[in-house]
Amino acid sequence: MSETITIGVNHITRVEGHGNIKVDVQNGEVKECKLEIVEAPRFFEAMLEGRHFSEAAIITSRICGICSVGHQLASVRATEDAFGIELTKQNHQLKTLLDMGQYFESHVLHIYFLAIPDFIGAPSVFPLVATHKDVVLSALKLKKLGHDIGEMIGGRLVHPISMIPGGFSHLPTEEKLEEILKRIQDAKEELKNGVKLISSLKLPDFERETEYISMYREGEYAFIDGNIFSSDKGEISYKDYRKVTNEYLVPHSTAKRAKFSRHSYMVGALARFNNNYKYLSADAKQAAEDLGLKQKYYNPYMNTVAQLVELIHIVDNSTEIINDMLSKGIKNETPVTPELKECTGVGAVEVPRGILFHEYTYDKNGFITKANCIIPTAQNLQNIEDDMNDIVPASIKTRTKDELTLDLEMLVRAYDPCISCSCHLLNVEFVNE
Amino acid sequence: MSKPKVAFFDFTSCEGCQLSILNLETELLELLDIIDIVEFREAMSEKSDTYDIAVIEGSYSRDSDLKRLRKIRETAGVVVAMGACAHIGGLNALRNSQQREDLLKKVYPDHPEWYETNEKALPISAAIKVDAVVPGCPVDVKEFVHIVKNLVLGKDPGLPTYPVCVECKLNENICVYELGKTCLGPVVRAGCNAVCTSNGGVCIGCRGLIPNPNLNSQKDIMQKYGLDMQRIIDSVNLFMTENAREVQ
Amino acid sequence: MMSTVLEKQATKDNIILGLKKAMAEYEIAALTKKEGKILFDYIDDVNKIELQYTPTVLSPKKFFFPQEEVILEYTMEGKVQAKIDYRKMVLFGVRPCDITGIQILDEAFAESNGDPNYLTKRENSVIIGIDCNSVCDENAFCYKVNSQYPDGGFDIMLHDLGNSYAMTIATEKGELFAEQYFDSGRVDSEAMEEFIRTKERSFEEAGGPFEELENLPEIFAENEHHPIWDSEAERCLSCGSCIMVCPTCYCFDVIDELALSMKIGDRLRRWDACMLRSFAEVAGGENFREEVKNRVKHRINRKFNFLMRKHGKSVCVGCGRCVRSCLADISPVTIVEALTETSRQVRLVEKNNELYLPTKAYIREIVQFTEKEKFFELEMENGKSLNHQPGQFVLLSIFGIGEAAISISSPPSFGNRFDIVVRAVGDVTNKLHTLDVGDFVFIRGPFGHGFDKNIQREMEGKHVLFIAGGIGYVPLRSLINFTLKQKEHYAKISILYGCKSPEDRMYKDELDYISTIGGNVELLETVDSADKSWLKNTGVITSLIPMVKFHPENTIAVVCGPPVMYKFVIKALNDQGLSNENIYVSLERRMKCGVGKCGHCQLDDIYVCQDGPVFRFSDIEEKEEAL
Repeated sequence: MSETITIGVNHITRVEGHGNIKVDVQNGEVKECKLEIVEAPRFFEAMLEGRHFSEAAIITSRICGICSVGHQLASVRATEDAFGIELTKQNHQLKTLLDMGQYFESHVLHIYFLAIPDFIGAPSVFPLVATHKDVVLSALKLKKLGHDIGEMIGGRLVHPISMIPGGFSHLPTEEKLEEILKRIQDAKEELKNGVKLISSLKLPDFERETEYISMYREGEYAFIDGNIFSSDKGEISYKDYRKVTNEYLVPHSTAKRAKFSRHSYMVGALARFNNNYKYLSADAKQAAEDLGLKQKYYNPYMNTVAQLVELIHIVDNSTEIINDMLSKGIKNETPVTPELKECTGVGAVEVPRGILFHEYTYDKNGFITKANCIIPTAQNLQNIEDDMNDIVPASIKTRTKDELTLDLEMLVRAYDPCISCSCHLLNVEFVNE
Repeated sequence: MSKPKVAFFDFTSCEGCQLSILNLETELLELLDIIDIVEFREAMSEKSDTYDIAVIEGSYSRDSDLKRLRKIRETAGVVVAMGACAHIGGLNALRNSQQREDLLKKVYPDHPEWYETNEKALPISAAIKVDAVVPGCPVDVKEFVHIVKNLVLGKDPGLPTYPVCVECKLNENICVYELGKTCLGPVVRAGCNAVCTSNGGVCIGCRGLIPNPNLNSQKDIMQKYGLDMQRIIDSVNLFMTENAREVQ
Repeated sequence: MMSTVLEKQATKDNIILGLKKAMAEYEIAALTKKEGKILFDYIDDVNKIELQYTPTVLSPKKFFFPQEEVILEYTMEGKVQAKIDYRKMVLFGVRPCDITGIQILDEAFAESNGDPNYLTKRENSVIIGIDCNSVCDENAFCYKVNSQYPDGGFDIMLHDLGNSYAMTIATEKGELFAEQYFDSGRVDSEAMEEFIRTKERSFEEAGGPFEELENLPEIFAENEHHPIWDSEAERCLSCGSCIMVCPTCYCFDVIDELALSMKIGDRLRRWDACMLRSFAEVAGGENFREEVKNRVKHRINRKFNFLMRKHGKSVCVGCGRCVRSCLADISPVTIVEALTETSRQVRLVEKNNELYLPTKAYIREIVQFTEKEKFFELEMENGKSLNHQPGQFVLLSIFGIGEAAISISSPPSFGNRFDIVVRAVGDVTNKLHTLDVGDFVFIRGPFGHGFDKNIQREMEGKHVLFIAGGIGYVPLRSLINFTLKQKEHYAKISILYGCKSPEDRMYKDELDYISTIGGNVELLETVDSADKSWLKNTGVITSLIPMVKFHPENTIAVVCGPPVMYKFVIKALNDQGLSNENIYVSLERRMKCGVGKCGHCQLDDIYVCQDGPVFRFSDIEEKEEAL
């Protein structure tokens, strides 16, 4: 490849949201290597101003369709934190299951629909219907499971209905739980086929160690409850999330960026894997081994693989939870009504793409005066750009322009970014209050 | 006869409607027997310059949207607005009550000039003629399939003109007003099978008003059950800022 | 029809056991709990049957006439077959109101053309009812239509005697079923008599049947224009709930659904409702029942008039479901009682301690309109809006002098100010004319029947013809300005204004402005006599009427002026083809209390301060004292 190339990918396909890749190399020198976020601003922060606490989850849910469960979880947790509402065991279990439904849906979508086509040389999953029909059917079946778990608990997976601050306004029946349990156990077989498929594919060989940030809770692979963990600094209280994220703006992006101990950090499946490996289920650890994923791994392309490992853990974890719920019976718990007062709360949850923070401040009547949301993908953006800045100079001599373009697109896809989310939520003080 | 070519486009949206389509799972494959999907950015890299039916998600909120919308209108025979954002402005329009300058200052205080946005987030019908709509936030995929089927058959897409109460009663739900909640169901268009009220929630109006709603009576009823005027206006504005001026 | 023979009695346990045995041959549906709801549903375990009744949202008609039902299956190649459900079932625990409903549906589906789907299901079903010995809740009114004593619609009726049920067997089918499944003995006739007495007493205490139950069809026929239709329609959301829950509604829509393969499909029927706006709309766009009022009227007439004549009993069975589910608090009982008692009805309300207590208002602006007439802008001290309808009036007090009825001249607004124009003719008005800006008066009201929302809605889309004489412009101005603010809602607005002379014109500047609006707004003026500077018409007001082009079917006229004017104007309008149903008048009478007590404003049998001052002329044309 010549020493002067320009790469411009507008509206990368097979990612959620609108992003562009811009690379400019002149005579072997990298002049520009950027990930531009060009999503339309939607002003969610301004829309939350003055809204009632019962609407926070409904509104933030609409930041993103794929991540709507995640936003609702973080939102509800933040409101519960603000009003001092403790989670009952059942509430904790239902929220975890709902999160897992989301993981199923999201990880399967990413692995099979968004990422795999690259490895099989296809432009999308649709041509695979003719050549790899069983793979497509398997993927659809797994995705449907996630969908149905979400429907069972939340009323529907996209923009759930029954999760409200303090509990759930609609509960699943024991019959439905039994039915889902059986399908979750069947899913394990499908996932094992997935492991076989993925282990046969060749992923790009690239490593760059960075800081890995995820949730952490002693004794479990944390999803909806716990503190922050940095691979460099250790455990940090979830309430101190701002000290970790340190957001700042760049000109070519409608999304803010984050940094903590290094120039950038990574969140998501690989980060969770690196930080919480010891809490994975036995089968999940086995799958990791089969897939060549070691306890600490620095190849961002392996994020997709880590997602598959997580799915196996999730099958085991949700089996455990459902069995426990069935043995105790579903309790008719009505959601707790909060006692209104001036307060602030933080919700930190692990959603498929990484750790997500919502923080709200309420006035004495339960209306929002301040809101802040920090999205996993926003936290990843600088890390992606730093990866790109490593890959490009190293590849100038060895890859053609088309190959490098594909490498960069695949890199962005590997992070499973949710670009819509990443540029809608920023820290705002409503100065005219 | 060849299958109609369908292309999906997204504007200012959360892409939840497109995601819901992908959630059709096996029915998606059946759908592919009667239509050809030639563009769907979220799921495929292929694109196409020609298509018969354009399905558009998202509102029209930037100048650059207008050119894209017009091009789509020129190319497609049938334009379908999918989801509340494209249909009635949706949640995006909640910010329409605030001035553009104020919004930019609030959200991007350091460099408001870097961000392109219009005064309001509008339904796409503000820019181009729309032939059919699939309402909802997100859309109900059964309804989406039903409408696509009807378009392929040349039938009127046919949306219910009656309110959510009909479907809520058909599901034999206890009316949420009896449970101490208020709900916009009596003035909002059915077709969602009353999914929210059937799952512990209330109707938040994502499908838009029915033709000729009795808003005065609805307001009186909501006040009778304890909401004050501001809260009533707030609840309508959540999704229907753009088509509910009559409430004021 | 059947022999209501009371001959057996079985313990409750034996009844339940019998049902369990019957499950081998029948599907059993009964009252049961499911996900927090009480409803009639198929059960797989007889222990899940609820014997105590709580009113359900939907009636059990759904077992024979389901919410959605496939009636035909077809292939696109041309094969078609009817789809009929032959399953056998037992419907257990139905109450008398719903049983009466089923009896009515049995007749409806067998009338003229026998419906195979409904009738087959009924043939293959056994209906076992449980009798009620008291009213189930405050919304039920079965006793008002006597449906607590059904004379058909069931095979076996059970009467609760404590540990046992006495059985009334009504049909051969019931007899065979009871013999096969219910281990029974002789009836304890004393206990049964006690049951009958308790039931009678309980329903009598709740209230007896409607006073004129047998005559309801005639009463309904005579009261097509009763104001109750307007007042109920105003609140109606057309949400369809009342129909969905009704045991005797049976209208349905027919829809074709093709499978995605496009090769096979179904034709199905789904519950529909005449209360829904598009029910009577044809493909060309014409809607034969577009107004809410007409839909409400139609629905209630079906129950107490149209269908009552056919079935020989009230088709509303008084189950109370529509009352429970109506958010707008519309009830058949209110309507029947209103029509039965018509205008002689005495509606008793609680006392209002503040009925005669006025509120302070300040004069904010005064304009001398003519020699004898002044314009005042008043501001309520309490900051609240008068919240009036156009055409209403207030009672204005100047303490020590008295109180006078004055029309409100400004359109409705959220603010706390309003306009009046007052001619100095009496004590109060003369005194008012001596007051200054900043002085206060006291206000009661607003009172009267004005141009309310129903009338406003009636005018939408039509040609509105305002005809005002002299100071009669003042009360009309509140409506005129209201319509001008949204003139695009009307086909046309014509204002005809006549005065004695140009100096007598009210709101001169405003009139001049109105004549410049153009578009669908026109202003025609005339005076009896004037000098050369008057460039418009001269002559009486009726001379303007032929100058307006209007279509009588799409026009509403609104008339206000000196008493002598009405007769002539109405005649002129009638001559142009406008019927009295489409003419509104605003009348004046001597008023003192404003609340229908002191008697001064009586017009035949009504009070102008309560039923007026705005009247639809056809409603009062027969009254001797009207004009």
